[in-house]
Amino acid sequence: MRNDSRGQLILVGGVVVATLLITLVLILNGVLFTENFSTRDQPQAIDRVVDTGGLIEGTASEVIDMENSERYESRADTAQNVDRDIQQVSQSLSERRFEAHGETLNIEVNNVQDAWTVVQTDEGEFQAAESGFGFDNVYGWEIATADGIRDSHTTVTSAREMDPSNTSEASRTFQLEVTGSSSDWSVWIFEHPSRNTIALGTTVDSDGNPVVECESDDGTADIDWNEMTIDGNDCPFKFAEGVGEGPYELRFHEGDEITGTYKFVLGRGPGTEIGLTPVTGERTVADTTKGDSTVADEPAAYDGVYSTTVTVSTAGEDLTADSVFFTAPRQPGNTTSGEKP
Amino acid sequence: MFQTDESGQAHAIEAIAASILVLSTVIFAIQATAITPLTVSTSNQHIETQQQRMADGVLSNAKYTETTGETSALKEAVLYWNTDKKVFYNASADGYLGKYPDNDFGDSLNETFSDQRIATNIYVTYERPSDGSGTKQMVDMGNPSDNSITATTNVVIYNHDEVSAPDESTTVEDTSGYFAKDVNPASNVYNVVEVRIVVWRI
Repeated sequence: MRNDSRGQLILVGGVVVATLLITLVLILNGVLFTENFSTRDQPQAIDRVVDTGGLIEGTASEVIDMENSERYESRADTAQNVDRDIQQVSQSLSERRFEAHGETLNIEVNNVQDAWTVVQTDEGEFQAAESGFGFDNVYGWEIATADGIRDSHTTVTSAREMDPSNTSEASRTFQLEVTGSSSDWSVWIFEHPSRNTIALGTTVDSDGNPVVECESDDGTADIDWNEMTIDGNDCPFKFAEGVGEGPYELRFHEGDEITGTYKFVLGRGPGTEIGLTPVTGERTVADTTKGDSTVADEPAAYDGVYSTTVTVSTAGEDLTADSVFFTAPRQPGNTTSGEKP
Repeated sequence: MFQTDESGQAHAIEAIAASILVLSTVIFAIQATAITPLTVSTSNQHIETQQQRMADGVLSNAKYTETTGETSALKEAVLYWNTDKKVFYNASADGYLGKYPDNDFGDSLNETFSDQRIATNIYVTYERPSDGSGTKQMVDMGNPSDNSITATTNVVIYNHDEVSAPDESTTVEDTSGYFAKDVNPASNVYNVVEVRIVVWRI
């Protein structure tokens, strides 16, 4: 009987050990699952931050475009409206985020950089505003010195036909010139010598004639300076390559050798100004924010916004984050604003 | 007698331990054998994560555009509204029942979820001018399962945005038939709506 009892105890011991092992397996399985499950929520909080950032960037870009297209003639109207629109979105999102996730969301517009929106809305030669000079036909002139150039388009309805049998055609062809802290950059716009297309060239051959680097589909052209395309066709160069830091001086030469319209959004800041005549010191662009009267086929500057800097702060159980978003829609990489944080 | 008592105690402990062992084995066996795609487990978590990414991806693709100034597919879907009947275009009062809308966002949902046997409900929540919020259901495919997942994003509607349904040529601010109202007439922002997708495996 003594041996039987010992055998039973050993058996019971074995059963207890087996039970403990199974319990351990069950507990560990639960721990693994809980760990796996608990780490799932964190990316969703991050996703919300990313989603909000994207929405704010997109909203800033859209309201800047909307307000700039209004062409206000009173200084800072555009900036105030952009700020108001972003705050409206902020308010809507904040309430919704708190109700849904218990997170506080604070969207603050830190800075709005003013701009001149310089446009020639009606087709015409690219000459300076007559009102500034008091006389007509000024075709070599400075548009402005600006802290950044963005959202720039030119439509060309006609341009001088380049004759390769001549020499020094570049000096008789329309030229857009950008000068920065390092160097200047030029692009010539002219009619292709053999095809009825508008061509662009940034280099000049040994005869002093501009070289065709890209061209339009037909006799008119739509040039996007940000994408650096003509009628959607890519050019083998970028806008204002190698000019260095701003401020940037934007200048036209031989403006009587081209007709069309244009738009440039030019950043305002220290050391920036609308172009002035060398002798009389009059403005070359009618500045509506200073009360200048405008003519449709001449350049006019309206109140605008160049960029915004917005801070998005999120505070919740899972995540606390501060993100800063700088928005300057369609800004080429070579003529950036000095405002960028 | 003493020996018999000792043996009885041992038998009792053995019986209790054996019953615990049997019970534990049964519980473990139930857990081990009832594994389906919807069983609560780490495998199911992977499926839910996959569905989460699919839903997030559909929303991300739909809310961005290739060209600046173009209306995104998601905003087009939110504006796909019949201002006379005050329902989504060609939909019932409860939204599209068992189908997706006939627009780019609907095509995207169809391509992503239909072949995977995944059902979807879509809700659009808008802000009311006075206070609070309202919700319109865009797509209704039934009651979600316990394993459903949710993805959300927000769309900003501006005063000048046009109602995108066929035969509609009005902006949201020029009609009283659109479901969301202008929350701040002084601002260009008309309303900020939240699009919520609930996804589950059928």
